[in-house]
Amino acid sequence: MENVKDYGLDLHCTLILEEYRESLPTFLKMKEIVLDLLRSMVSGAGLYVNGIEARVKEEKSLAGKLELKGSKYRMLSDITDIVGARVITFYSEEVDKIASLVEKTFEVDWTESVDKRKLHALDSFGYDSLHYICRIPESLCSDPDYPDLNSIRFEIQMRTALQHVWATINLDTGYKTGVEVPREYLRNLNRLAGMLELADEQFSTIRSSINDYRRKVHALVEDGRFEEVSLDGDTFRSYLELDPFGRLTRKIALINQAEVQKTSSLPYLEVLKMLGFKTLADLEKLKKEYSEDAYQLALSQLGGTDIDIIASSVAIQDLLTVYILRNGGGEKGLEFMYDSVSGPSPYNAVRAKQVLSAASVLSFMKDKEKD
Amino acid sequence: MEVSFEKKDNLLLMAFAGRLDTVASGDLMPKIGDAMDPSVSDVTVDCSALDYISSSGLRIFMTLYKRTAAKGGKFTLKNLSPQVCEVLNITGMATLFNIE
Repeated sequence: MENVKDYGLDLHCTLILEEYRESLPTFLKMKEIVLDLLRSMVSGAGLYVNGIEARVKEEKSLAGKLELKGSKYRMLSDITDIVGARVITFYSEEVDKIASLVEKTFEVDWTESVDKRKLHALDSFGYDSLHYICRIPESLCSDPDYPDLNSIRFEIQMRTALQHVWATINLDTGYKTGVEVPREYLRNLNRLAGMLELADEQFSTIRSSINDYRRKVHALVEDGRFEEVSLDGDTFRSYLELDPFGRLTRKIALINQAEVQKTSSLPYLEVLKMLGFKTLADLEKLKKEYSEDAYQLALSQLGGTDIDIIASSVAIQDLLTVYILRNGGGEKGLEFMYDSVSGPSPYNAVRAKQVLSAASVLSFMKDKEKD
Repeated sequence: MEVSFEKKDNLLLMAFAGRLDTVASGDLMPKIGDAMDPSVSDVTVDCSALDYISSSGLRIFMTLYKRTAAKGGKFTLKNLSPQVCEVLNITGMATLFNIE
């Protein structure tokens, strides 16, 4: 009791503080359980959030709270944020998704829970966060060593990263200490809250627009409307899902009855763009016009060997090899492709020389020479 | 076929010498399995004395590549002979590995 008296609290608050000390092991246990449950809840839903954190209110902080408004609380259990957790999202709409998951995971005390996002008047801005007061359901976790584990309430705050930044800076101004902050500072803080609310909204709008674009592009690719689809990272990925080079890969594999190791063709995107391919229709044209020569190249390289394993990306590699050679890119063009796909290496010049040598006897190179 | 192993923190250095063919690959795989303890994330193979590689050798490279990639690590081949370089190229595997 010696330390309790140090805070200068009255008897009522001193008893609450004593109760806190006795219950501290339960609070610490609750903190760990809540944190674990929130983490598995978020990952189980496939959500990616900015942060999940939990803490037990420190004794000093509780004493400060009691000093300010101790008469408001009849007993320790009236204070619902001794154990507090927070889920910080990237996007504002994800706050509602997290809230929905929390409702399914924990027992929510609706009489105490607050949606501070809805408290603002039309012309005011400030702290935007969703606060749920919860209990850990016995069905999820119970422990005879901690009999109060399921009856003690705790708080879960859900807000966006920008709201979190604002709230943290606002806290730093000392509003909780009861020290009055000059009006002009409060006004500036609230202006900033309005700006961040707008930024949150814009981030969500941008994400939604990008998702709409991806869905539209995916549909166009699925429908085979390649001429309408520009070549970029998203569209090339969608295109590769159709296994556009599968036929050529299988034909090359048949040369030696080879096993095909599935490998990504995505690293070739930069080469395609640098070679001037603009739409997925250009890739279809590449396939149509160069597949036979690409196969002849593979046949000349693999035919005299007993190599019976290939990477699936060999198809696009051979297509682009032929494209470069038929269009006058020569050894330097091949080296440029290898540098772009594999990164610069002295071996890229060796590879280019070897391929050019193998290709030089093939009909497409001889035809080119005639041209 | 000779092989040597050296471990430096999370990096396993291997040096192959001779012909990495079907027979040699069969002998080599258990040795690599022993050397690839859970702490290994990066693998570098020195091929300066590697004269020949068959499909079985390529399968060993693919296995090492997949194992390191699964751990977020890097699979590197060093000092390739022209024959090994050509085999990697015509199979499309040269673009997968880090070649120094």
